Amino acid sequence: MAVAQTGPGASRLPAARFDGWAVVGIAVAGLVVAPLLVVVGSFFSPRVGELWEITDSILADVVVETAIVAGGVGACTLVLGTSLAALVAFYDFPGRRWLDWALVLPLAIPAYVLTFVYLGRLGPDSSLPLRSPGGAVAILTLASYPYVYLLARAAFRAQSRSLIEAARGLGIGRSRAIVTLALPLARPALAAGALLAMMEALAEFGAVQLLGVKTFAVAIYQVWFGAFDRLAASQLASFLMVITLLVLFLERWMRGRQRFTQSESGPPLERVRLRGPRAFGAAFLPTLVLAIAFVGPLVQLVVWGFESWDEPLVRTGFGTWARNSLMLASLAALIVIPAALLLVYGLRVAPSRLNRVTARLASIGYGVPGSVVAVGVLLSLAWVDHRIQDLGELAGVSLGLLFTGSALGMVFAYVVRFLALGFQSLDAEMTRLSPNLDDAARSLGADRLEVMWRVHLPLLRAALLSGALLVFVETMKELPATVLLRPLGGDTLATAVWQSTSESLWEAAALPALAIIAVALVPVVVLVRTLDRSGRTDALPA
Amino acid sequence: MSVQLTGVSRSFELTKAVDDVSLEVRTGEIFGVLGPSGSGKTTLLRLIAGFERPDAGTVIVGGERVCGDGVWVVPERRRIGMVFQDYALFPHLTVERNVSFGLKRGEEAKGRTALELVGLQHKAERHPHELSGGERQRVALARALAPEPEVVLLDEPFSNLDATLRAGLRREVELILRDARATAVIVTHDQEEALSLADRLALMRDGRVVQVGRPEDVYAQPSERWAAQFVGEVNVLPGVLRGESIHTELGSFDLVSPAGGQAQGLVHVAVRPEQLEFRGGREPNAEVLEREFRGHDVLYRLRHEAGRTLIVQLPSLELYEPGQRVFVRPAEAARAPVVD
Repeated sequence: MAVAQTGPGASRLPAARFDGWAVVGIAVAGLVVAPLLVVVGSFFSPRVGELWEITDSILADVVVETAIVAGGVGACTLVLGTSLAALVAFYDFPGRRWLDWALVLPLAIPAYVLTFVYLGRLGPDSSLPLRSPGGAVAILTLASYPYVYLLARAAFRAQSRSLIEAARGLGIGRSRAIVTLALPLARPALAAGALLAMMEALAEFGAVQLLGVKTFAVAIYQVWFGAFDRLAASQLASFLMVITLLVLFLERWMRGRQRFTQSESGPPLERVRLRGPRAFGAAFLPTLVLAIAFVGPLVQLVVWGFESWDEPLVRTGFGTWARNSLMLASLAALIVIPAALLLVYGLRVAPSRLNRVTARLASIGYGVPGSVVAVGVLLSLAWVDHRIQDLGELAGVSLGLLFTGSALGMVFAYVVRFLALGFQSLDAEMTRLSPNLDDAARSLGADRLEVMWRVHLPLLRAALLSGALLVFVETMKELPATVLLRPLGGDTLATAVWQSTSESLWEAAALPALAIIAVALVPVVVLVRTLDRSGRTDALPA
Repeated sequence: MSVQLTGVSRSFELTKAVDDVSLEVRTGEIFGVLGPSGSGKTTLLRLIAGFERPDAGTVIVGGERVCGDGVWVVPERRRIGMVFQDYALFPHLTVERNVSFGLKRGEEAKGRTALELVGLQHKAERHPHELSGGERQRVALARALAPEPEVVLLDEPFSNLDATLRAGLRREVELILRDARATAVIVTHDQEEALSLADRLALMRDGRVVQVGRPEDVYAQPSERWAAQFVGEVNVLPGVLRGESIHTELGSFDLVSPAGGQAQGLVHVAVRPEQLEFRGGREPNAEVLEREFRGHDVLYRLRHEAGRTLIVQLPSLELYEPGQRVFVRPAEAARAPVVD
């Protein structure tokens, strides 16, 4: 029988408002938010007047080009993604079943890879004006239309058959019913998808840089490395951060609204079977999109990969790049997952409003472009280094810069950006577990640690794995933060692609690009398999 | 004494979920806690288990103070078994490993014994999602009993089951608990469940214990009008207390307990529907309004000539039709308690 105790037991009180978990949550959120606050801090610099002169001279151009690219990508992905989703959701034609999931595959190709494939393929004297804001819109649309496609497809499938049938019973034709009913009902989902694509466009660095377009993400880099003015760069970065957080907020709001227009369950709409030339026409558009956004570039990369197999640059470098990428990505996942677990656990044990807020804050980094995070991380680490140096001088030793320019900065940036990915997958699973499981385990003699070890961790295994996988893949693909923060000789697969392509060595970029795509395909294939399954079940009654 | 609560209170924000409750659960008995939803029964259970900490009062389990006077024993050290409303079986573990979750190395035999007790040894290797609702409940019970706890707490154990299964499982659970010689506290809002299962029960309302006693006593001698109405159906009639009997408009009833010091004069008595009967050959004094045929018995709703609506329960041997006029009177030797 337990000895009556006040010590360890007393520290495990249920639901205190400000306890250890709140401290943990605040610490994690603080670590994520600090570099972002440092970026905004540039506006409080004593040099702020001078800064304005630097940023002011380029601001007008940057704003215009950013607006064209982001607005253009939003509009084009909206049209393309919605049309493709409507085609596969409402019509049946040869090849629909596999196009249904194959249209998601372009998610596995980073925009900067797509860009260099087309730049290399079309050559410098191509008649297509690829190196222009318009070209950037085209490439980024091909890379990110799946966001709209996925959300639109889900929204169309969630609309019940009875709704369209009711409209037809009122004498409205099928095509008109789709335009006047299905599309407006899906409007929040469509808008959310387009906003996601816009966020990607705002954050995109590699593709836009290669195409010579000057958006905020590129301007930050140029001011940083070209003019070596870190404060001016961070001033630009705060503009970009405010814009993307605004878009992120809009996106969340739209998704919230979609819940209201999701109709009651019911059998999904029966697809109209197209025949003859109309079926051919319906199959043509998605096939073409898939060819130019996925299959074509992949084939070109494989061809270049074979040609460059023996090139000294690739032969000597590939191993190092791959090793660096793998190590950074694993390290990011290994830090993100425990940190996310801490946040999720805090919410489980002490579900206070404070802990909700800190968890939200800790997830904010995902909406912030990599270049902004990189600037914030660099400034924060430089500050810490200088404080350490000061301490060293007091003690009479020269310490140098410890953190700046080390791999630590990169890992820190990845954690800030991708903590949300780990948190969301764990949180979704944890909230599905009945709190009675915890109590049951405790009444059977398990303490908090044992409950975690014997109950939660086994049940969260799938979520832990998928969260780690997402963080791993995103880190592999991440370019701007890596470019800005990599130490000398610390090239990864992504920066190797970028390095080669900025010197127009397209073939040399092919193998590292293929390696990235191979890894990025894993979560896409997982996604596709769940889509495929849902596609089959909802096709049954039709 | 297995569980002893003294002056236990627990508030959430502004509501007093449990308000100054004192109770004793004797070793080996099945103790029912009966009350409407929101009466604080589940909070009471969680206070005993240690999932909630009381604002005041002491809790003693198995002679050991687990809470109060600066003492706090965490749930995992209280030797209390719990069966949850949703069973809370660990979905990733087999039936056998669920049952042995609370056992130490070398105690595997206890797990097997518990599984045999609930008759599920043949499903030891299954996972919870492969079991029926009733089987899950038995696994939950076996899991709670396996470590041989001081007391087992059951929170609305039958509410997730089909109505048709419930009566059978109730009996089964009772037999298992008796077999294991376990001390059990069962929380329920279903009065039939509490009456049929418990050795003694506590009636709760708004966080307070209204009455504690054997089911037959709580049924026959409710301490107040609300208790009479919550435990079974009842007619509350005004009457005049005179000596050992009460005179009402239907006739006189004997007092349940001798009227020691009870108020003379105008009182109310609680008369159960089965304490009234119809008599032939007399001038009718009531009209049948509705008839609810329940198989083994029939429930009639009558309008008495004095204007009152009465409920009467009779065997279904002879049936009366709505509209029929009858003579209703107290059954032979009907004793009724004064409720206010």
